[in-house]
Amino acid sequence: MNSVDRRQAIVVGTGPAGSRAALALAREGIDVLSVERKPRPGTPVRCGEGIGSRGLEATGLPIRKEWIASKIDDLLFYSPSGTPVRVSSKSPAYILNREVFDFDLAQIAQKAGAGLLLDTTVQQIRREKGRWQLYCTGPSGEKELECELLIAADGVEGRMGRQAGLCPGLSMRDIESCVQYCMDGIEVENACHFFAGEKSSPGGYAWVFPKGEDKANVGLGILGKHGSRAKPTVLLDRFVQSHFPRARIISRTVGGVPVGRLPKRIECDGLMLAGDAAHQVNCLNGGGLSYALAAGNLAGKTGAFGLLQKDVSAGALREYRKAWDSKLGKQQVRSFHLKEAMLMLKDEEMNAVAERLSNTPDKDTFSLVGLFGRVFWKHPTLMWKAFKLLS
Amino acid sequence: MIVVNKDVCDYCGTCVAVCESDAIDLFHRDIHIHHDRCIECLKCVTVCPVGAPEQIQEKAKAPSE
Repeated sequence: MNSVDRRQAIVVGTGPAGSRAALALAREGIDVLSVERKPRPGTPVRCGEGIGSRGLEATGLPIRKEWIASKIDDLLFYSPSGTPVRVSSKSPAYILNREVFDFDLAQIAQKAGAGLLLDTTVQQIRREKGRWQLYCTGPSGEKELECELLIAADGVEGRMGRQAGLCPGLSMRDIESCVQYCMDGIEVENACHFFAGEKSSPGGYAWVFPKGEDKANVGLGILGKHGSRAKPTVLLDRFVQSHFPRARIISRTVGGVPVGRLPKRIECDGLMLAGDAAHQVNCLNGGGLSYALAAGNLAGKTGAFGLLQKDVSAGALREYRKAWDSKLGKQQVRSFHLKEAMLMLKDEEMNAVAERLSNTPDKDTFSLVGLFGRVFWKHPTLMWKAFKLLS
Repeated sequence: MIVVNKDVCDYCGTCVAVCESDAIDLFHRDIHIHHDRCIECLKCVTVCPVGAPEQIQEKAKAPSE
């Protein structure tokens, strides 16, 4: 019988939320172990890899140039009929090389003192005598871990939140089913391109995110419940055939993106959820990187404080949710309402709006808020729904 | 009964996220469905980006089994 590995804190998952949380804990001198089911943090990449520069800078970490594949200044939205609408962002976005980024984040956490256990999948968690027991399978068979504080950064596929009774499975309206190619020979403007259409990407969109040197992430997501209509693999192949028939596929990845509201509680005694596991994702564009980094830091800091004060009860850990709500919560909830509103828009309406927008003289100076304002001005109910929580 | 085609599955876990009965164990490059827990809601079949899970008819058991 293997002995139980006991730690003050365990973080499950070495994605951006998990590694950021482990770093925050380690920096406070907490004895923390990161647990990762893959053999190597960061691989495979299941992500479009886009992040706003502010979200990356907010980590306070020195940014390595190897993390950045390309820098993006403009967003181009294409209506179902193909009319482009340009939005120049206030601050640039980056397309990352997440194998390097995630790997480095895990290294930074280790250098700060966090341990790392790879190839180990948490199957079941149980609360016993005021501690969390983790029943895992590792390379040498079953493994048992124990901790006072547990951070579940176990992704969209995570089950720890469910096992702790914090959230049920995701609704089929609150998940995007996605496929992405990394491709070579993609000659497009250096912007993030977004393509909408009920038939081409029902309840989602296709994207082209340039990564420099004619390479790009080319992907497509559909709303989960539409998977009975058509598979994203088929739809993406159709998209690629029509837009980039001569380009070459280098690699493929698939995955799900949560696009729902946060669970009512993302904390309970000795446990916090962070990142995709907590649904901390922008529901409109599916972007979760900056939210994950911010949440990991908040969860790690809250957990460290709790451990040092010898109180990691749900009440003590609620500070994490409060901090999330005050910094990013409203924005995320607004994105959910925007997504719900967008799901109601028909192709003809999107085409009409895009036509109007592309014919206005000041089209180059749209902000995203301005764009959505124009999209929804004819639909007061949708406007109200989308913006009711604007402070 | 739901079976996963492991030649097609990419182990992304999108099925796990929607599974109504938490019946799916996901590993780095393996997957296992607990048939005793599965209620065949078919959400995994619908949501999978690559169409790996499939609902099949269970073979009828011979009287001696």
